[in-house]
Amino acid sequence: MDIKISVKTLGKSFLVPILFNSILIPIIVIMVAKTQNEYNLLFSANVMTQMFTPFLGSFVVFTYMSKYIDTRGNEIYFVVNKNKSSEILKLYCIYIITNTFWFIVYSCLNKKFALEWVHIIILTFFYMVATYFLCFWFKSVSLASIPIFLYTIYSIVGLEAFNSKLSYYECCGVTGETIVSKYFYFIVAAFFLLIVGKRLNNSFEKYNE
Amino acid sequence: MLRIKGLTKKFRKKEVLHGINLELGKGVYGLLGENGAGKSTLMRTILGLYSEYSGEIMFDGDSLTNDQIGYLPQYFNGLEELKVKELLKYFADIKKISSKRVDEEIERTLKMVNLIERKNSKVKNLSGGMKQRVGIAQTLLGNPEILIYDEPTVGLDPKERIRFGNIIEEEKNNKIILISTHIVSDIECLCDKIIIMKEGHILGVYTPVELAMQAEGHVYEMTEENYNKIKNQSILVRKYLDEKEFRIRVISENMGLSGHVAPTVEDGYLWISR
Repeated sequence: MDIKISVKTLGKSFLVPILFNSILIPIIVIMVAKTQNEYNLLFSANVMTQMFTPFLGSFVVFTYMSKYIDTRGNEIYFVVNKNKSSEILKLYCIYIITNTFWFIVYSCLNKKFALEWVHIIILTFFYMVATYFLCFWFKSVSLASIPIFLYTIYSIVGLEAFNSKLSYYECCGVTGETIVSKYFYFIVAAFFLLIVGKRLNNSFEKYNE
Repeated sequence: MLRIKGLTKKFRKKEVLHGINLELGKGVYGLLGENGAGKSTLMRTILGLYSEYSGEIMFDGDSLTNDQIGYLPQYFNGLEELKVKELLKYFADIKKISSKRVDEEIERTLKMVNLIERKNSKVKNLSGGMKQRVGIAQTLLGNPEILIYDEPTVGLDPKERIRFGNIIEEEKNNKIILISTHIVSDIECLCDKIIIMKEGHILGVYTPVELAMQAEGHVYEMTEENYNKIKNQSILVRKYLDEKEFRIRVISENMGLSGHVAPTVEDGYLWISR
């Protein structure tokens, strides 16, 4: 699949993650960097990228999936190639690559951020695959967005009140040990959702007239 | 030859296709039936869009593969932000047409639908008829052996409908073309055979002449006054103004009526599916 065409199919909605990940967040992080306070820089980059990058990965999937799930005449997109999982994985790779530059910049400003990039890659994979699964589970992009949104709010806001093992948000930065012990399960969960999502995709029969 | 044997499809527990049997060779077939007859369900099952069904669908003795089919749904929402050429490249990619052939295929199909000059226009800037032509062009990519069109002329002006008919004429000799519609006049001139569906059953497969002849002896034209006397025993086909009075065309089993006229394809369809 031509990458340029894949991205163009997202329309102007693709500008939203670019706006946040490539313009807004870097501006905030670099402004903080000017204070020459390394801790503040790391904290700022952690907060902003954890809050937005995985969630915006879901946004990309929602935008992409809307033509398959919600659009009138959606059956045309299932005739030749019903399974969309490979397209979602390609989108994931494109999304990660488009965000890599700024993560390299943040890592140059603070080396501890390099591990955070691994954290974000895992989370984004989890988010994008979960979105793919939920879109076919609910047969609706709108309904699928609700659990994604609620989980993001829970992770960021509910950290102290609820079981932090289920939350993805690390307020003090991620460690190598956390990546292995906690986020390994996110990878396992993501692959499980991918497998189930593929099965739901293959049996999808909601064609909109 | 496309062979469909004992095709049955259920949605939850409700059976919507009942043991459909069809053999389709090269040529143009109209699939005619009222709304809810099962036309779209039959087409989607052939296309593999429904995975759970019983029965067999075979093409030349083998399972049908999706690269053998070109399909245009009733509502073709091409990706509006793309240019025409990009949209066709999108479909060519998912049809796995080799990169060496893609540009050539796109040029060929755009010439067929007379849109070559608009290949760099965005889909959203095209008229409804032009968008439909783009939809037809994508069905022709890769030169598939079977073309399936679901209500292809709905919303098209007469000139676009004639253009669609001309494209079908050009392709009919080496393809199986299935056109679903509930507009009889659309397929009257295009189709070699007409498949009549009702409530998930095939009522019959006829040439246009054979279909018209099914209503032979049962079609009448009369004044409104005479119609009012028999309206409970007849099917109203059309009411039209003839000079200064309204005339009613009906189909009726009542052989004693006067005003008998020659049947049309539409009359035959209404008679078969009454």
